[in-house]
Amino acid sequence: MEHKQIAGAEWTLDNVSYVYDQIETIATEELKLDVYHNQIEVITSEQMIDAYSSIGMPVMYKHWSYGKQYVRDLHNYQTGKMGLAYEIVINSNPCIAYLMEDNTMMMQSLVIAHACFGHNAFFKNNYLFRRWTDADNHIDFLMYAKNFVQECEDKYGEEEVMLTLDACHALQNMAVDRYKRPEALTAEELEQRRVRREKEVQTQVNELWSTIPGRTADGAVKGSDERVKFPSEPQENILRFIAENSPFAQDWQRELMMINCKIAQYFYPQKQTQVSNEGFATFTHYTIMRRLYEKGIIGQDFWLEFLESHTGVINQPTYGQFNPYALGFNIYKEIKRVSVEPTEEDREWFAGQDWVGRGDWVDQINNAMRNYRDESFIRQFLTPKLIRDFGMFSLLDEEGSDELLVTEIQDKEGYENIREILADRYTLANLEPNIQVVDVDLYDTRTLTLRHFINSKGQTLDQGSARSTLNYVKYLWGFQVMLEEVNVFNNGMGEGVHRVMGSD
Amino acid sequence: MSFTIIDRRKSFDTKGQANRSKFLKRINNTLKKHIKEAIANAKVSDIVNNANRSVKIPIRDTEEPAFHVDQSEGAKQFVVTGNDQFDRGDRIPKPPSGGGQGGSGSGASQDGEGESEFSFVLSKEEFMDLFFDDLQLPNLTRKELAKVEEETFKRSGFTPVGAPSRLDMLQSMRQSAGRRFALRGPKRKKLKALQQELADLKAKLLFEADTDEATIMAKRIDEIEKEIIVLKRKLRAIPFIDDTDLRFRNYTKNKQPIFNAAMVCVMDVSGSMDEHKQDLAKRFFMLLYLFLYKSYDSIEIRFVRYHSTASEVDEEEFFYARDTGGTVTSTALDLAADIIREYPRDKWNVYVAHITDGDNWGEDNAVCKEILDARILPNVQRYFYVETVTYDEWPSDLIPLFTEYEGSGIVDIGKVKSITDIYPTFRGFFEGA
Repeated sequence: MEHKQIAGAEWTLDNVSYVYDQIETIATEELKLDVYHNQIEVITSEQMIDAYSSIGMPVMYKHWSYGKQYVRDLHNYQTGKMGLAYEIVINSNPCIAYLMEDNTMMMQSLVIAHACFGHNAFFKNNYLFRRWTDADNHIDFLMYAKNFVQECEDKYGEEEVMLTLDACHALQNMAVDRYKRPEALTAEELEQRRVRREKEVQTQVNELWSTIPGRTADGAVKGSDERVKFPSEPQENILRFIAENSPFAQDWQRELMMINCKIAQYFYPQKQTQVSNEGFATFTHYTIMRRLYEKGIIGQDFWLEFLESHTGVINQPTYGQFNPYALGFNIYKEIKRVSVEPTEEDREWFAGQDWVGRGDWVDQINNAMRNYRDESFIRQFLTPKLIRDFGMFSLLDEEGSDELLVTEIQDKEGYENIREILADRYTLANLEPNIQVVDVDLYDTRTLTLRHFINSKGQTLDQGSARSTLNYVKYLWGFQVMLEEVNVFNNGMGEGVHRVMGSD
Repeated sequence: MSFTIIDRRKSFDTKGQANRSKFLKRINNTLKKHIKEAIANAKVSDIVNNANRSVKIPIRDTEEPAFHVDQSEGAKQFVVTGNDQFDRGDRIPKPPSGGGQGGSGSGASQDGEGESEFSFVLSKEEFMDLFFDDLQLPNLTRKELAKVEEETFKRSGFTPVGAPSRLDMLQSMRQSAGRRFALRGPKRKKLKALQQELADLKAKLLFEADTDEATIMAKRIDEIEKEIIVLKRKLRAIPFIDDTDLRFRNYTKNKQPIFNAAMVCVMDVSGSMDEHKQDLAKRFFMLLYLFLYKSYDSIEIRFVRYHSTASEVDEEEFFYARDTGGTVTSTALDLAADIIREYPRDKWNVYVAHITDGDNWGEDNAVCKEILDARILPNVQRYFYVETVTYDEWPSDLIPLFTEYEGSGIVDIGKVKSITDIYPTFRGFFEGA
């Protein structure tokens, strides 16, 4: 079938529409992608910088930290130190993608393939996103949050609200319930729930702190001679714990904390899927653009322009930090290769797995996208060939040493270890400290005790920032906060309490 | 499945700006401190030209703390790419400041890691607001300084009468269209009705023979046709445009206060003004310039350097020329007076800023007094006399002369010995309005 070929650098709505249809055909029919409805917004470069400043969200409450980001980005952009991302795409339904007005027609096509189909499909189908984010209602929720913050500022003063938000932000990595699914509520329902919760929490809090014998929220009996342990089990969602149990926090402060919990929840999958998400979107856009070229919808000039941009995106600097686009894209490419034309080495490496050589690479790509997060993605699909192509090798950096030791290189003995070490770097548990609420003194000092479970590498918390953060926790809790750092691993540090810090 | 496309380019997003103002509020105190330092240490020309408004502030004031591990502790293994020479067991010296750290985690990125300073650019207005913030100058001085008013013409709607050059086509056409609609309407309606009736009758007549009915119908048809002719004529007679349609642009007079200022900078560059004193002088001029620039729409600055003779120079020469000589102050005042003549008092707020170490040639004081009384002081808003002092106890030559004018409301006297005196002196001039 003869297709009209688009040419020229200037984009028009007609061309964009035409190319969108062509891309959609390839994406849905050939790549079997399942996506949310796409909402494309054309913006100026100033608006793009604006978008950065609210962490990419089209709606967000105002905070000075975003101002700092904005100022930094604007400065870097204006002095040429930073280019603008050519796309921002929001995990929502409909999926919002921004197109900059200055993009060439080729870039717009690229963005559509990459964001409107690549990222979109990932958001809709990856298991972490399905579990943790509420794409249908998140924007509504942000509207609610923004208005609520504004109201609080009007009623209680900007200063108070800022302090509360600062404290919430400091705890945003400890604000997720790892075992619960978020609820889907409209803005009105959220408001109703807030009112209901105000009443409930107040009752709960009153009961908790009263000295009359009774029961605590999790059922322990109070008032007996034995000192009641509360919480009965360590709680990992520190922010929520404070919201629900802090003795004297104001209702609006509790609500702000809960809002931040929900936002933290929303972003929880993104941290853990950067490689896979970007890799998938890049692989998608590459495959689609290539098909467009093969079908004659884009000509050679476009194809060359595309290749130039693409190589820039997947460039992996030598000895440098891993570029998630490069790593992810190449792993997906490997999946396709192994699915269609595996070598002996591949068969050995993926021993026992049916899909090797079976040829249904589209399904395999989809499967990889849906069911894995970065660490498992790498563990499952990194191939020896890729290790060799990248020239991967591992280094050991010991405390106090001024040398790096090469521990593994890209040979047969090294492949598995390199894969392990690389996957470890994308494991959230290794990157963020494990800190939980272990005790509240209900009777006397009302001190909140946190415990840091020191990791297997024996790394304690950075003291300066920990102290600042502790003071923020104290602000929200209202009373003293203690932080113990406890070692449970056999890492040469000795078992037990290693260090204790208190708020000021 | 189709898609939606929305063009947001015209909508005004203020997210970035709103967040930015919150940020500036938070670091307000740091900013003010920093700006004062920047002004104190900067080159005069930079500040006068407002070239460098980039601000660096220490990161700790904008810290966003969180719990995170101390990365320098423990043994860490990571993967990097590009191996073309190393083997197991090789040792590589660590690159400085941990540059070779590979295996970027997708975990929480720590803000401000590795940076000690945070740098960004303030707009001119923000810069000066912060700088003059606690001096409270603008409000105070606006009250004191004389306002000059100017009449301007401002657009205010339309009138039915006016000069042909003010004819507004669009409005006139609008009126015309309105009039025509109004006049045509009923006639047109009637015409349509008649035409319809005519058509009906004619159709009926075809089927009627020579009956009485037919005669009546024929008569009616005649009538209708005549009426139609009349109506059509009337419709044609409605003029496309009429005198009553015309609209002309209207202007009203508006009195607007304008603040126009001229400053004459007079600097003593005689041999007795050493490097330090010259620096003090320049800083003072710079402050004055900035302040006046902020308060007035347009400000003209004239520069006069003098030693034993006076000459008007440009900014470059004023600050950087090196010629020097003895001291005859009256030459400067004479030249200044000439310059002032170019700025009539009814339109200009004129200032003179005179900085010297106070030395003067013998009997020159009398001449100075004459010029001041006759030609300068009556024509200026303020005369700032600033003396760079070496010995507090030793009165200069010029001081007795100017002290006479103290309390007149026209002459302000200030003494500066070091940089730290400049602000208080400046403040002293504008306080207690």
